[in-house]
Amino acid sequence: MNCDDIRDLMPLFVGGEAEDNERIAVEAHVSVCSECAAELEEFRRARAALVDLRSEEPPLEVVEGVGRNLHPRPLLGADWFVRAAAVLVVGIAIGFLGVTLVRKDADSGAGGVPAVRRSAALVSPGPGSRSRFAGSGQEWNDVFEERETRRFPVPRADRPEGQHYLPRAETVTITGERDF
Amino acid sequence: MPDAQEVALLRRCQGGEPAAFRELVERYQRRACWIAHNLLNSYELAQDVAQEAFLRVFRHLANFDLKKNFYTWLYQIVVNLCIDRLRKLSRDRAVDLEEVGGATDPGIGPSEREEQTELRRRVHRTLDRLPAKYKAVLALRDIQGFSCEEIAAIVGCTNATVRWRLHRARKLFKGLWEGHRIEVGGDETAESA
Amino acid sequence: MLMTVLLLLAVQDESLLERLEREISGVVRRVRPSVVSVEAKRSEMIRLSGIVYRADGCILTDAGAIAGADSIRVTLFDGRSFEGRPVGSDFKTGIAVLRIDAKSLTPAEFGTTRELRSGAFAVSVGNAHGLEGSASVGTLAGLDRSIRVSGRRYDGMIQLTTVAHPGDCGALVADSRGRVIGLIHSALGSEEAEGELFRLWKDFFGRPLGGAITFAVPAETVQFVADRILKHGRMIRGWIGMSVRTAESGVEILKLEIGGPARRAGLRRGDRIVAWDGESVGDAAALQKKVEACEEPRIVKAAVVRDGVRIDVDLRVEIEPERK
Repeated sequence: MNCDDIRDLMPLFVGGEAEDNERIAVEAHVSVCSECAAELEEFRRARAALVDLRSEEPPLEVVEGVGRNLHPRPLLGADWFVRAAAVLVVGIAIGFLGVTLVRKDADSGAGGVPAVRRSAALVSPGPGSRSRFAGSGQEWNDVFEERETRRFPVPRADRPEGQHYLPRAETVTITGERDF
Repeated sequence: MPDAQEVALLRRCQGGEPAAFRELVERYQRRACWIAHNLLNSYELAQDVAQEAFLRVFRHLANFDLKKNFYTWLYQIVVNLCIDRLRKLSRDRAVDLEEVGGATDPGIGPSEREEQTELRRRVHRTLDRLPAKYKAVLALRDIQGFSCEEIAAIVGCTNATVRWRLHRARKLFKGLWEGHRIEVGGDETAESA
Repeated sequence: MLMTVLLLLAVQDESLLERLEREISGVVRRVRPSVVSVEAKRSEMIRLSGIVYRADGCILTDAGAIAGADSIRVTLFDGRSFEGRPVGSDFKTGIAVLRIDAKSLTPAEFGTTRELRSGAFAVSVGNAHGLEGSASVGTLAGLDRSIRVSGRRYDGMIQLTTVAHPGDCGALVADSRGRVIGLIHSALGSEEAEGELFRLWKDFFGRPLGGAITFAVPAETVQFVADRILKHGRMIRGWIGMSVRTAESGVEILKLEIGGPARRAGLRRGDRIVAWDGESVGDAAALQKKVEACEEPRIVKAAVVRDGVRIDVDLRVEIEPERK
């Protein structure tokens, strides 16, 4: 395999999606080819910058704002849900129409307030509509999906970023082998 | 494989329980918002898209096949809405999506004015230069951590296509990322190879 | 006399736990001034820990972290910071010696691992995630471990249950008396060794989880290397170019380095070294110590057993050539 072939494997190698034989080929090649090793390092760095965004979750008020205007007012009667949904949908349609018309005239500035939010507010919850999610008795961040539980912040020192160093031991044995 | 607990929750939603729907929203709003932000680089737009996504879920939940994974469906909607939005935005004007995020809407609050570090800004700027479908797989894989299979389900293509797009996306990103470092120059902290 | 003892016992209303706590924090307090933080400017800023070795400004840290750095900064426990100048590095053990322009520092007192047994207390103080002087308490989990880090093998490492986080490399590990028993080197992080959770963590955060299997260079090795580097300006150790393993009696040769004195002298794989320099050979670690102790080339008489036959060999111990 020449350098071009190896470099072609690098984008998937750095993300762990390469096949085993591809991975081995890359690892073997970069251990002897310093240019390719440097190129691989570039790929790693670029990806690392991207991965860094994993700790950049949206702020709480943005997240909570998603649900805040969505919840329909609880109406009495079994078919309240359907009615609420209907009102919501109609409201959105009107809202969209209205704002679309407005938008055509408006100049590009800071951007208009999104239509969806406005119209959803037509059925904003009244007092007492915020019920606790009693049904299952769970806290909202008590998640059942394993993926969700991975997101928790790692303590960071209050100082500029840099790489805190601790090498990783890949294997450990107790053979008592010594080199000298 | 859908969780039995979630299936129960979804059934309650389909049955018309407001508390159930609230619970569903509260379970997924953070992630939905986050994915949208990855693609749109604006908290305001992200919140907007997330709301819209839940509304669509609301509308179509009765027809949702409970044997399928809910989150795949939800994120599918989120990603599609984002791609639509991106298309619209790029058509309307040559926009730096960061500017769109600087909302004067009081509903967003001081968080919107929080500074991203310079590095993260650059990442977003670089991401924004990628075509939407490449940006989507890249964000879903490297930022959100989904597997290739999940991404295929969310984006609606084959596993092989996902890998191909990832390959292209990472190559593009890396090329732009390096380019970034060279072109910015002076005020940049020197990064020796 | 009895009254005094009874009186003392009565006064002792401290619970065992409280006493333990007091003693442990005493150890932390004692060693804290000897722990420094090190920043090496490479393609990005690398942050880790270091140990004060001599009061006149000699600092020990990790060789891999500072290799090729444009500049190094050492910050003491009291906040004073200095430019660090590399004196020498030993890549075989991963120890680097730095010098800073400071006097009357508090050097760490060194102990030994020789008499330690598994389960002995270990207290580490380092800079986990940049949080200076972070202390962790654990025990000695094992001695004489061989580990592989980035394709390189490190032998004779001690294994601890103290938690090490990124930034803790180069930090000190002390025994219950506050004497250094090791310099933190690495933590176990193999995908196979750890479960799904750890792999997800690494996948997600892009770096290893600070784990409770921490490896440190034992105090005797640290001192041996540091003293040699200080004395000669670089690491000088005896070398004959072979890889051995303790056998039932003597030491068995596993590999011979091409171009090395052992190979040149005619030694072969499978040979069992039974005598060295007039003494019988104990285990591999002991023989290594004898060989590495040489500071200049010399001829040594040894005896090996090959296919049941005892053969006398003259070996020339050389100085280990520099390698990266």
